[in-house]
Amino acid sequence: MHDPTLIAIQQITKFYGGVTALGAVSFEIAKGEVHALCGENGAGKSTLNKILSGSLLPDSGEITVENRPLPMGSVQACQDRGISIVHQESTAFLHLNAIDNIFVGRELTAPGWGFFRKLSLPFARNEQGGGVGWGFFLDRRQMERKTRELMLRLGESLPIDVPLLNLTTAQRQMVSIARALARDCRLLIMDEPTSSLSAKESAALFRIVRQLRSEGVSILWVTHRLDEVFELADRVTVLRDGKYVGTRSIGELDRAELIRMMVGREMATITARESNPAEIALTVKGLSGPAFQDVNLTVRAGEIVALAGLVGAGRSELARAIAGIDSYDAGTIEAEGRAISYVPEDRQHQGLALPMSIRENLTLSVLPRIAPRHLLIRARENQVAQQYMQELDIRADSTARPVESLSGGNQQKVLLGKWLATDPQILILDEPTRGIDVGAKAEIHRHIRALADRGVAILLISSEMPEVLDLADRIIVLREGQVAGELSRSEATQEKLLALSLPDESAEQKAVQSKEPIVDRLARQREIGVGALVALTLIVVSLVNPRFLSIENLRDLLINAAPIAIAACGMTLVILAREIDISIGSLMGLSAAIMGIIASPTRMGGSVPLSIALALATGLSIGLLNGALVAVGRVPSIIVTLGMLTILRGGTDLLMRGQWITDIPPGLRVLGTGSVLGVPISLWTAAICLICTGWLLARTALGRRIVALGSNPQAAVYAGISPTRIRLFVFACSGLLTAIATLVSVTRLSTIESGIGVGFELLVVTCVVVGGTSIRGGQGSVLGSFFGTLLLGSVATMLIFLRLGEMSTYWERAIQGAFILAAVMMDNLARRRAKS
Amino acid sequence: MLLVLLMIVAWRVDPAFVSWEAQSLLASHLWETAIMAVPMTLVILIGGIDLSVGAILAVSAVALGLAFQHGLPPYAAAILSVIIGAFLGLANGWLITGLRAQPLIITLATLAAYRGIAEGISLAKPNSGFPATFLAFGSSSFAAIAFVVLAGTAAFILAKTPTGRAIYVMGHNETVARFSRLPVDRIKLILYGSSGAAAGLAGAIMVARRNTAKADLGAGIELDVITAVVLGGVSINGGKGGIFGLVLGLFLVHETREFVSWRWQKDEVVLIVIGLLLILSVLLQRSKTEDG
Amino acid sequence: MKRCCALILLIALIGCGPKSEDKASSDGGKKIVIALLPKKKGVPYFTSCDKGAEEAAKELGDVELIYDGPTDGSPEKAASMIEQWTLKKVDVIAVSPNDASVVGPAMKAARAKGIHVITWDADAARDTREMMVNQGTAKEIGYKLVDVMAQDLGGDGASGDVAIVTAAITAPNQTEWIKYMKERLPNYPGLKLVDVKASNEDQKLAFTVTQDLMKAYPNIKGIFAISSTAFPGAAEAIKQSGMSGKVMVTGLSTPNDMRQAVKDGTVKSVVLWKTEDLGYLTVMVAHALAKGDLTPEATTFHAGRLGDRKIEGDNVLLGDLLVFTKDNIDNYKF
Repeated sequence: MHDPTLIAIQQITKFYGGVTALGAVSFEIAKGEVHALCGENGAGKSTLNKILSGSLLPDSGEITVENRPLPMGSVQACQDRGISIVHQESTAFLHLNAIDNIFVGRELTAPGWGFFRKLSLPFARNEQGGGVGWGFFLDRRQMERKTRELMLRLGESLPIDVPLLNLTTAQRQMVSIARALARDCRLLIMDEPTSSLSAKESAALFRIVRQLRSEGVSILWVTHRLDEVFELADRVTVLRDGKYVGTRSIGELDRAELIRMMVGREMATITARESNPAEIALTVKGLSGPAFQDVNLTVRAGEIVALAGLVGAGRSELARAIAGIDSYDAGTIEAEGRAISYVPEDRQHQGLALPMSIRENLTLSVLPRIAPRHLLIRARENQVAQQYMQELDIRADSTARPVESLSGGNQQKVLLGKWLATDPQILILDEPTRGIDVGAKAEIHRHIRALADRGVAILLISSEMPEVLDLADRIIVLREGQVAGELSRSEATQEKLLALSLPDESAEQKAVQSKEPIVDRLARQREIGVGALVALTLIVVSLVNPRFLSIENLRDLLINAAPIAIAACGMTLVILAREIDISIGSLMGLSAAIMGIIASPTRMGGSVPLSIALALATGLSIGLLNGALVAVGRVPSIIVTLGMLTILRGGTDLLMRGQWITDIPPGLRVLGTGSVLGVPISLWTAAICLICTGWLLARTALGRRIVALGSNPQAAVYAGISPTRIRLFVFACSGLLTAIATLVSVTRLSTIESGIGVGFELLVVTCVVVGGTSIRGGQGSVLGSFFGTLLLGSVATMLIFLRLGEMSTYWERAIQGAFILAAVMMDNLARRRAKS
Repeated sequence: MLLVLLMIVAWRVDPAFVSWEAQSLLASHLWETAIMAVPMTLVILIGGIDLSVGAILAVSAVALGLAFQHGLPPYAAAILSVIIGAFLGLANGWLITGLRAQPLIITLATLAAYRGIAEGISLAKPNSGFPATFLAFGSSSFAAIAFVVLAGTAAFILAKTPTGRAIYVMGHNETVARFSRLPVDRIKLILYGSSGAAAGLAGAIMVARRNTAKADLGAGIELDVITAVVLGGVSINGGKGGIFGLVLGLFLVHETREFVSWRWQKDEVVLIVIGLLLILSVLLQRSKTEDG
Repeated sequence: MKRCCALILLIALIGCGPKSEDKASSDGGKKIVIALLPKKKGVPYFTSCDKGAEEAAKELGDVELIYDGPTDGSPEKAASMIEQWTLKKVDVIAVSPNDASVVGPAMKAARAKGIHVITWDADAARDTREMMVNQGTAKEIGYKLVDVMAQDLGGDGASGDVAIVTAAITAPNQTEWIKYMKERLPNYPGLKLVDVKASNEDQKLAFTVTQDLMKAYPNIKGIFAISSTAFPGAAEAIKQSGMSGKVMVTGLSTPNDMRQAVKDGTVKSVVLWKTEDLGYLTVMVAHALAKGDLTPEATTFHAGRLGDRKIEGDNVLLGDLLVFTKDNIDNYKF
């Protein structure tokens, strides 16, 4: 090429154990070229990608960007030098919208607030602590404007303020590209970018890639699809078994030559199969479900019928309904007693238990067969495993090897074998060759044909047109959940297929636009649900006893809820980051004890400010300790905080020495009993904590990163977020806020005893969860937690106001439990409605 | 290994602690926790958790007491309490599978609800005066046998049956299990049901041992159970671990607790040591796997 | 590195064992070992009992006193401790049972091994112990609480709503007291019991509940706060609502813990006994039993500085219940 070299890869070597993953690989990528990287699975492409993008440290070798060496093993440094990667597996934050996805880890911030910025810097800094400019508050307007610019540049019109959860795979990928561009990307690594895209979406992606090239961006295009190489690339580099085979210009290369470079031998050309379909094996009549309507189709024994169409046209959903995995609304499926097997599209998430052995995976679908009378018989298990290992030529030294150690192609074979073992008469294959190399693909194709020859009726779902045209006897095209047409092998061409698959442009636009407000509304509805429950309770109780609604009582309700709400702020942060902190009850006891012992004239007689400071310091340091054990020690948070729960309680008991503290100085009691401008201090504190936490989450970069981490920890690392720092931060917050809660709650009472805070953790966790924060992280809000606190905090008071007498005391806890269940169910229903 | 080390130290400090007599007497408090820990292990193996076992224990115990008071023979009442336990466990399972909700949330809710039911139906009053023949049911030999049988069954199920295989698969990846047409929901129902049934059995044993049926029985015992399971090397995220580890974990917690209490006579210290043990043992496991 | 740190910590932990061993075994000898078990360790009431017990142990000279109990009040743990003491062959175990039915079997087993078992503070079934050191029965306490409340509210003609704030609703001692309180209340026809609420040993909950009770029942005149954590919580709620002197609150507590509330007028009367004397007497009785100085026929018992104490049946009586008021509370420092 004429363009100067952008990146030079020199003698990069990487060993995994004793295996050479990359052996002294060197090549160059020019400025503004599309450089394809090809090779079979296990050739070392992924390893090279990881090294280039900074997530893996090579054992030797060097990479230079414009003749300056690139620091190795740092995602941050690589991004700073303009290298970004768009991953094969989606590394998006599904709970965040496009704007946040683009800027997370590198947020644009408004100037000012220097103090806060410095304060939060230790936690917010990126993994390598690089000098990333970043203020405190997000500059949301600026980010939104930039996002629109980027989308304009990419020619995309996806909704940018909707969680990615509600976008298509292709749209999510666009967001990933935009993210790379936002970081002034000069080399964009795209790892199997079209593997989950439909033909139309791929075409759109090609257009964008060409455009980027014309803007001077280099693209490293990693793919198994040779068509793409010839359509798009300027040059291609081939790796084989971790070694560099060669780099060629596309012009001097043909398909056969490329395959020879990759495989190292000639591939046998495939001859078309003589199909001789027999009787009808499967009849589907008028089948309707959430994603498809009124589908009619038949498959004969020995026939391969392809189900073509765009991703999202309802193919997988239809297949799952036919296989009996999903339910459907109407229609009939007749298979006349034939066994139907469905081989799912996503082998990592749907198909295989990766940490388990080949043997265990292969026999998973036929457990009854290897376990007559419900006992696993090892001999039969081995026999089944051996049989399919051989039949499908799965390359591994033993059936005991975990599946995750196999290459993608071999994994796919295990997947196929797993369902072949069920001896199906009807086999549904969903994207059977996604992301595997040419050699493995040919083998799988051979197996599919052999199966059909043996009389198995096959329904094949594939987004790859050549595969469909190659294999299928008949092609049924699905469009927006309906059968758009049927083509026989002889009449099918790529053009016809595409024409049938493409939906009306206008309809698609409309669908996207009408989606937006609904999603928005539902997102808000989660809090509204709990809020409504609170309001309803208030109304019902006040009808029975109007005094319940008196200002005085409402004020007391709020004051009582204040400490819970304060601690709930911290807990919300922790749970958002996908952790949990159940040590806060004991921590409350400990910081109360320390505060009391220092301030009490009969114990140490220290000054009030000192006691407050030390109580806060206790909270903060225990929080940090929790955080350190979780983040650095990698102990699951539930275990750390469960242990801390008992340790701190024991420590508190030792400190208190069996005495209570009844002489809390008035200066300290003011915190709990005093008021400012007629509003109690505890309410001020709670309000400040709620607002600050709410702001932190909504407006600051740090908050965005917490949600991002909880949403997708893996992706967070790629975005340059340091999970360690974020975890430290959320636990520190939880500790500190608990100490603050202690300050306002304990000083309201006259006595500090060792049992303070027992059971507090369960109450707070329950409030947060009832408030709609997902225990899986990434979703939730402070407002919801606050409503949850109000709801649970008012149950006891409510029962007293209903004046039911002694009887209600015995049922109090049952009623509380019923409330929690009701809230969980309401939340669940709301979410389900959001889905459909 | 830790267990052996502990016993050696304990022996050096005071040989009386390690005597058979001492051990068998001290173990009598262990069995209820142990019995509930077996199904809890399976529940945690599939990536779930059951926080409501202590509350189920209370409901079953109270039901036993009330049934006895109304003239049911105590052994029939004990069977009733197991059935009620199983029923409440199934209710957990049903809520979890039906709502597709997080087990942590559901059992947190039922923890409160069941305890409330126990308090409500008993009006928080104890029931006692069981005949001596029934109290034999609470002897540690019966409980120990029950535990051994349960643990043996669970170990067998995990190692030798398709259900055991399915349990591990569900722990690794529930979707895979669903796509493999494994009866995911049924297994969940059964496991939460058996967790409830075991709590019911433990409740009956506890009533027999204490000669009292009361609504506050087993309060907080769920944390002991979970601690034992986790210390036994069962991954809290599911998929990894087994019954053998659980047995070790159970005895490690138990022996540590008894030994520290024996040696220092301070309940506060026991709390601290147990907490440290929990964190350190997992930390140790972690660093071991990282080194290797 | 991490692994090393953890290992070192662990070894350090275990290493503590043998080191402190020498100290403990050196003062073995022929001492009489008395194990004193409180319902709940770490509360001032029992801590001050312990103080009295230690005083007695020192006075007697040949006593080794062990004071331990569950910090969370779990009777299960208490039973486990009794079993350990049985194995260690202590001479006397003095139990304050939080739940007599739970610790009962363990006490029986200890007796079967020839260990003297007595109860103090609260009683258990007769066949589980030899004697009881009795400072007041549930009946006495229940009656006294009601009497004191009535007196605070104006004697026999007292009228108004009253409510009880108890510990957990399952707490056995409180349940007993409530039974006798309900038995006594009809003596004062003007008093109407409107509600019994749990505070779950949580001062803050007691505070909230009291506050709510006052608002929900405008005619409320008295609160019985009958757990040691409920009492200060309830008193504080009354004080902060500005109802000091209008709504009465009473309960059991050490004078130290309620001194301020009594002085500022929120609490008129506090019921209790001399806790240090209770601990003192318990150790004295235990010592005498072990020495064989106390026979079942005795009707009086000479207890060191306390002088002669009456024995009724198998109960050694401490004496009358005390009522602390503004006027006398400063005479008591415990």
